[in-house]
Amino acid sequence: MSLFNDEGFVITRSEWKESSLIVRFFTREHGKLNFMAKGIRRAKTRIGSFLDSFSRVKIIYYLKQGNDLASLKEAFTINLYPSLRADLRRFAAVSFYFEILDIGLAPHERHEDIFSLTSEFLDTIDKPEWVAESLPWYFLEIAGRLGYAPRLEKCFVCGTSQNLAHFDLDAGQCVCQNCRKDSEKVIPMPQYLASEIKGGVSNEGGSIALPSHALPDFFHFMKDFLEYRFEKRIKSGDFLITQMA
Amino acid sequence: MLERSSSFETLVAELNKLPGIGRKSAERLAYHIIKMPKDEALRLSSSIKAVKEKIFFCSLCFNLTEHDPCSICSDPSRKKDRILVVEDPMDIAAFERSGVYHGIYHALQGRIIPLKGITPDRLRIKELLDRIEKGGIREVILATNPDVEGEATALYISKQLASFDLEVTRIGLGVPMGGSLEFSDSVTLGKALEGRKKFS
Ligand SMILES: [Zn+2]
Ligand SMILES: [Zn+2]
Repeated sequence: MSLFNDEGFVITRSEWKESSLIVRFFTREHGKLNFMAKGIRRAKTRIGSFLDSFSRVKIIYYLKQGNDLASLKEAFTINLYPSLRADLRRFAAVSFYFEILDIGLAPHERHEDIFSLTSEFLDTIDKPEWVAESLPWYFLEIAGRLGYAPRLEKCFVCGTSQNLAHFDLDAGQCVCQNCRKDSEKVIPMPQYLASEIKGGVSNEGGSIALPSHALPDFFHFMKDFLEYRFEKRIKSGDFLITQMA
Repeated sequence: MLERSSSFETLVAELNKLPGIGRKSAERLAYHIIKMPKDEALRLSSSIKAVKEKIFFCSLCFNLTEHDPCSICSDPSRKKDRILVVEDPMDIAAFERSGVYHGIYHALQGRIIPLKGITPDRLRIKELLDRIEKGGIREVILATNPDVEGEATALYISKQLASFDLEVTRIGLGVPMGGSLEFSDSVTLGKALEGRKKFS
């Protein structure tokens, strides 16, 4: 049993027994990890006020090697990202991001690059001047860093970079108007997306700027694409799409 | 030592599902039940059956009740012009214990948690709007928990209420962030209610 001094983002919280919580964190040191926090739902226990969803928390915990459940000793909020409480679009986008993390990350795997992306994403979304148009870059980037980057530069059949408005789920690449098959595995993609990305998804933060009216289509596309890759429903997708409309 | 039987194991497994009851406590309770006089044990089992058959949700406020509408909704002394909106019937119980509130309630049956698929249509928000549409409500007090999902739920409802001519307020920060209303004492709940602010 070792004591760790770490930090992490709260992915989800589930009530456990009368007053305890099981909190799933994305930690810097151990990646995705579940924590047992005993008795913390009682208002008088201070630790409970430090475990809000999506917040960044300094955590001290015990973890046995090979154990799936760490025991939380202390927790202090570093950042609550207060603007998530005042804007449903930000709340919906962060919910979708964390659900993607939750499904895409294997437990106990350290991912320094995804940790820093998450940190940057939350810092950006919490700024008063934040605009929703900056979201697509982060979602393409997180998909890429989890190993599921969609290929959007050219038609995978003929190589053209014109008229790219569809995506072939089996190929994991986009397909032009002429080459696309009529199949439920060929889904629409926002028109502007391919031309915005040109150099792939690894542009500097936020450089893909889709017009705001294309955002519902973009998230529809990301949801369909990732659900196909994950073979799992992303529950927060529809809420995000309605908030973006 | 008792020979392990399947009915014993079933009882232990069922008790083990209760909040705060681990495997050890479940076994202890099961032994206790076995040693109980038969009529006493049967009273326990029939009272469990009775609550499951008789208790349901109030068709107006979604509080737990044996009569519809519930005793709060049908009490003529309650002020019917203000609705306190909470997540669960447990929160209604906490406010009732505190004695600080004399209006009526609405239990949403949860809060918006997109990650768990709990979207606004899964909550009793439409029923709240229907109640308000019928008229007579002057104030809606949003008393969802002060964590990020509770705040988002309050924000969502306040947007739905924007077109109505009424005051929408949010309880104050007497309850610590991330703390839960259900476990707050009456002084804290009183302060939270007193410190409510207009939702902007
Ligand atoms: Zn083509
Ligand atoms: Zn009622």
